Amino acid sequence: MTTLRRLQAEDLLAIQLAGDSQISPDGTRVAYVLQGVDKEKNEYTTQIWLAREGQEPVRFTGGNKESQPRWSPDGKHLAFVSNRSGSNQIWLLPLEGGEARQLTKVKGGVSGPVWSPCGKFVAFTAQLTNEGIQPDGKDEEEKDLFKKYNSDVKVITRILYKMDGVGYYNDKYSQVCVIGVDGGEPLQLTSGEYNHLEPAWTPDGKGLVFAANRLEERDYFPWYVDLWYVERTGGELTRLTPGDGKLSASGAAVSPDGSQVAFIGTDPDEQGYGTSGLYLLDRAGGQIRRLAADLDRGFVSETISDQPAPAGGRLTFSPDGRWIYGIVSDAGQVQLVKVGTSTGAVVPVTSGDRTIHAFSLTPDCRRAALAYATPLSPADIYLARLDEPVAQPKVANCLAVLNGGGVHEVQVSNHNAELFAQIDLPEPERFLFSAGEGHPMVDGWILRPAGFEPGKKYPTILEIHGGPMGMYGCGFFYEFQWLAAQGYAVVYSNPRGSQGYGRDFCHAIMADWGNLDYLDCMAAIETAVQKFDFVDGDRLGVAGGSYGGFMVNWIVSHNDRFKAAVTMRSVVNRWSAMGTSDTGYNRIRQFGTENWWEEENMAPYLKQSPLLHASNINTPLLIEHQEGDLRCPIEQAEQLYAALKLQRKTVKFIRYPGEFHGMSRNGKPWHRIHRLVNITQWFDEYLNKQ
Amino acid sequence: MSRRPLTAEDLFQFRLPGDAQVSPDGSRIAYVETQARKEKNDYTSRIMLLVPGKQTVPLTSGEKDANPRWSPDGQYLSFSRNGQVWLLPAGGGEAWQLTKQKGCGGPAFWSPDSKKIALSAMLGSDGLQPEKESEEQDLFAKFTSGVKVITDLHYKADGAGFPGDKKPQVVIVDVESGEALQLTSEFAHGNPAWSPCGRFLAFSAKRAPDADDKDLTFLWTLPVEPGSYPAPAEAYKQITPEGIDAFLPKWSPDGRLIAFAGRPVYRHAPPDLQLYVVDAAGGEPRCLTAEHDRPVGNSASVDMAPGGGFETRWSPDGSAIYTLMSDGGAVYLARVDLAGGPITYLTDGDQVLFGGSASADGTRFALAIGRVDDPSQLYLLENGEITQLTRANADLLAEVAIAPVTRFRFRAGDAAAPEIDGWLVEPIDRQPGRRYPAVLEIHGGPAMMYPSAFLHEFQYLASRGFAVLYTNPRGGLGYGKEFAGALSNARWGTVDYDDLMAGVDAALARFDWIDPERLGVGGGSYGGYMTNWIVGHTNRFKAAVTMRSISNWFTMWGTSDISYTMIDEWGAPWEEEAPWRRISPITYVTQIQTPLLIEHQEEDHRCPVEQGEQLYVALRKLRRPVKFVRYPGESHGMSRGGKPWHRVHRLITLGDWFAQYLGEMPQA
Repeated sequence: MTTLRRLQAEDLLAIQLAGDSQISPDGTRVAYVLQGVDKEKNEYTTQIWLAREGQEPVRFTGGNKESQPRWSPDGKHLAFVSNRSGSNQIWLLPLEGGEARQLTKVKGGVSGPVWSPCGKFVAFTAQLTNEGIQPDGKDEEEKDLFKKYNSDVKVITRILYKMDGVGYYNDKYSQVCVIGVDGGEPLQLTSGEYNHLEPAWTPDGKGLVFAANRLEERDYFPWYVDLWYVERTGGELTRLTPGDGKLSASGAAVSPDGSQVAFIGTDPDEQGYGTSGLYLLDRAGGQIRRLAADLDRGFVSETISDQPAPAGGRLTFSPDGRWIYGIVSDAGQVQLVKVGTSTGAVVPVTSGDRTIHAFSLTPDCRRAALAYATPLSPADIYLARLDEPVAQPKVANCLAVLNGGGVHEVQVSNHNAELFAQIDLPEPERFLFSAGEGHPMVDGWILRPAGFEPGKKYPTILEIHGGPMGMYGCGFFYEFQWLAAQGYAVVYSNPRGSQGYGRDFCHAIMADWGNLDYLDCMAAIETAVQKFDFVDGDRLGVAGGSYGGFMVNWIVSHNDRFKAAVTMRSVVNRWSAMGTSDTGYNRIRQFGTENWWEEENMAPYLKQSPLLHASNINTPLLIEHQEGDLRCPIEQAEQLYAALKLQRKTVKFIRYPGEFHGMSRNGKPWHRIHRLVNITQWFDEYLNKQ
Repeated sequence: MSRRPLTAEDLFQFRLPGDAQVSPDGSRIAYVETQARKEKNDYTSRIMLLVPGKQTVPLTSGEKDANPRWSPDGQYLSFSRNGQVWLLPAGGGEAWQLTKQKGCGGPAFWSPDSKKIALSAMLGSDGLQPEKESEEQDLFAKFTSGVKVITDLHYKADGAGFPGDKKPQVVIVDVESGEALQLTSEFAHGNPAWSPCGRFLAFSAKRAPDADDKDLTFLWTLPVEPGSYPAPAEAYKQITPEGIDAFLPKWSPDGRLIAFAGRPVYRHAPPDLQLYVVDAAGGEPRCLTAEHDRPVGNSASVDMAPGGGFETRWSPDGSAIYTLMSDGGAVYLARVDLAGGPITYLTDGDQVLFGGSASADGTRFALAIGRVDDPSQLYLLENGEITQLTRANADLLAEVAIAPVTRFRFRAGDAAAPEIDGWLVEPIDRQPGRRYPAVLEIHGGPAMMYPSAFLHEFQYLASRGFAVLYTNPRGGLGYGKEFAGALSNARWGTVDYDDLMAGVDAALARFDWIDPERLGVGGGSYGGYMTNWIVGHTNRFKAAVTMRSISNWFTMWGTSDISYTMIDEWGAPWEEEAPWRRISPITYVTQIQTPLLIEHQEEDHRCPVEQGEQLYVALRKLRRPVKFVRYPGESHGMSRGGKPWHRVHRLITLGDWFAQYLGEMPQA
């Protein structure tokens, strides 16, 4: 009966992702960002749209590179960032009609507009040199030929000189600035060779709290991120947190009475293998309290998705200051919760299989605009009534600890409805497994192939996520659906090392990759073979990116269970990555050694390097890498490829030029399609022969 | 002293004459003049016509014309323009484009009857394709054409990039019709050479699948009309046997023999090329230069070389072969008699012969020669007399101060060690009684040779008040097989280090005006490796500049375009305790105290930028004085052929680094 078609690689170009949902102060409207693809230009578009309950959403601004819509406190203006002047500047759109006017004209562009509580000022950040704010305008053509033809040369003296996704650092740093809405010159509030991030107004409107690492040796001690305060009119900066490097702070919000600052803190000693906590700072006394420590889940989205929609949302105090709203990652879900500021009690607000990537609340905290993904919906907008609880059934076969939430929600955008209505999209099924006695339970999913016929056996791909400190979410994952459309079952899981399952679960593999995580990954596929009779145990493949690529390399160099493998942007030689990866040198603390190049310090790096086991690899391996990857540089893939090729093993190497580590998620659209097609071609060659 | 110091930007002033081609009758010389251009940040080259006794005139009007080649009948001059071969009537008239297929840029090898040319073209499995792309493309193809899908071991080449499935193939073009036929296919085939009868082509090729890491390059021949194009596999005839890597075939005038440059293949073999002859029908090759024990070809390391080389050629009577030979810091034109006996050098020492050619009767040679005080000029060699033909850069050379260069010899340790050649470039305007900082420069390779020639880098440093010491330590070419092989079997950083340090000691002893407290060291590629090695083993240098260097063999074998070949010698790092750790400078980083400037090119496929990155981050982690300068879009050879303004930037940057730590102005 079905006339549904299969998903095609090029459908990737048609998907639209809604996010950064901003609710109007009166709770009736949501401004949000819609991301799409211009396939002729091979680039992404971002537009600002407006949704309201009971109506089709409408496009709200005219450009194709617009983002960060922010309502003025009185709801009469929408500030947003647009490149329509040639660089990213803040524009103001009157809601009562009329065209937007440009508010900032700062050379190099700005981002992150934040309205002052009185609505008379907008704070923002700008990347500035030590010359400070310069008027925007076209650069004159360089007349000095030496300068003109050497402007591309990189002269480097910092240890942190590059960053994946950003490129090579120059002499610009993020500075907090403020500008009057009625005009006038912007005022630069911070300066120096430090990045100042995420300004938040104090409720009295007199100043701003922001995060910054203002240590001279900030590159060597990147976790010394403190909260600071500055008056709106400028002046000395006041450090609010102790400056002892024991807690790295971000995402600050100030309580309604101005006495407390809530923030997200991470403990540097955990090296990223802990959970990011919610903290409350008493401004008068300086004491810091961790709230909801027992929850043991991160107050950020840890989701790894290949359909990342524009994110948004900051910690929000209830008007009476008793609650803080935020999101928590839990077992593949990301939920909105509220936490009691005095009790530390955690109350789940939302519930069910979803990953929230953006949220905002009305000042009274009765309404929220949520943007989230569900298993068959990549990203849409929902209006939630937080004061109308609606009980939700508990998700089966799920290790979530946050249960019992649920509120009245109305979906107010559905941008992919028409597209998805034509396509046969199987729904992933959760299952639980463990590596055996003494090992923890692990969340797994299996996706049946499109056109699934009971009784048939299907080649099956195990997918392994990167990080490792991230989590597969329960949202829509294009790559898995593409594999399913090509006739593969897909198994994926959150093995130890993943976020969303508490500190110990994540910390279990720090400086010990290829041990407990390996057991979990193998248990995932063996459980699937046992549990799902359609999984063909003789036609298994494995794939993963970044750390997931490491694990693919590790698996194929430790067993021959899989008949084909695809390793992507992978880690091959952890020793050389210390010097070539953007943040490699920072991994010293994980390994507990100092100078990695010295004989006595090498062992832990080499022990976790799949290269040393390259002689054992027999599985046909597709090595895919991005040439501009600054996280796992291309030299990693080159070493593995050369080692296999010299041994005359079955191997192929695909290199994508001009792409960062995150190409599978946000690279050039047509490269992403090429990648998907080549993954399945490789599996087809070795798994699909019947 | 009215002469001004040479500047980095003087790079733009130099015009370099080279690739001199004598017309068959010997009356005319076509040559290429290259020059860097300021405004466009590139190089221009044009073809000039030189008739001794007459005014030299530009022969072509293009901005990037090169590779002039006379037809044997003297009727045409072929040249390369915009990636195609063009023909110019030798008696006057306009040039026209002969080839119209992608990759057919030449140089052209004329058939003896002047009716065809052979050339080497990079062709993919789809063979010859029209020069102009069709413009219709679907979006997938348009936006994914840059993706590299790789299945070969040798998948990239420094300077050339990623060839994809393209390999050099021999193409034959009919001069009258312009019709092009692909003669060879599948494997890489290079250096085509016509048999005197015009019915066969010889070339070198590695005709073995999946053999990038094997030394299986032999000479082959094919009939020019093999029955079908490309030639069927059975038409190929192998001429040289396994055991010698063979290149650059040249048929004897009677067609019985083929001369070639070759290298015996065995573990730890030295890297230098010898001259061989083999029966044109195949057989056991005979080495003509074994006793003489100097490599054929130009192995000189310079940064201001003109274009063009010298094709090995036979004397018309077939009794001798003319070739370039590198010997003791000079490059000579050598005559090698087939009958044996001593090899004769036809040009002087203490200079570099870049290349040239001879008239059909072999009596008149036009040669491009460089000296320590002049990058390149053309000379006529006839009846043993040599006459200078060009006066390029005469005004400039009269205007700037060229630092004097002194040769000397030394040895490391006792008489058992070989004598080593050294040169000292004095700082300009050196005042007696004053002491000067000095910089030790180390050449790359290590299978290369510093010559008695003009190096802009050295002269520039001298113009800033530094003495420059350069030497040819063991491991380099031009001093025999044993000397060249001294570093094989993973002996980098041993006797080469001894020689370099002995060179510094000898210079200090001989030139008492050098300040031993203000020594610097610098080098590129292997020279960068040695710079890293030196600062990891001694603190006698107060500043160092390591360029496109090797810091870590443990990754280099897998990331460099060709370094996997070292695995045969050193073992695979992923499975055995190979010497990669002992011979990697990264191992000794903790000991580095010398302020180090690390300079690297981001598209260097020989010593990839990850080598510089690892060294930089380790030193930065130690809070040592270090700076990292990266040049985007440049390959390993940037100091010689990169974007001109990058080269200027590089010179100034390294001069500034030495000035910062050694002091620039001479101290009383």
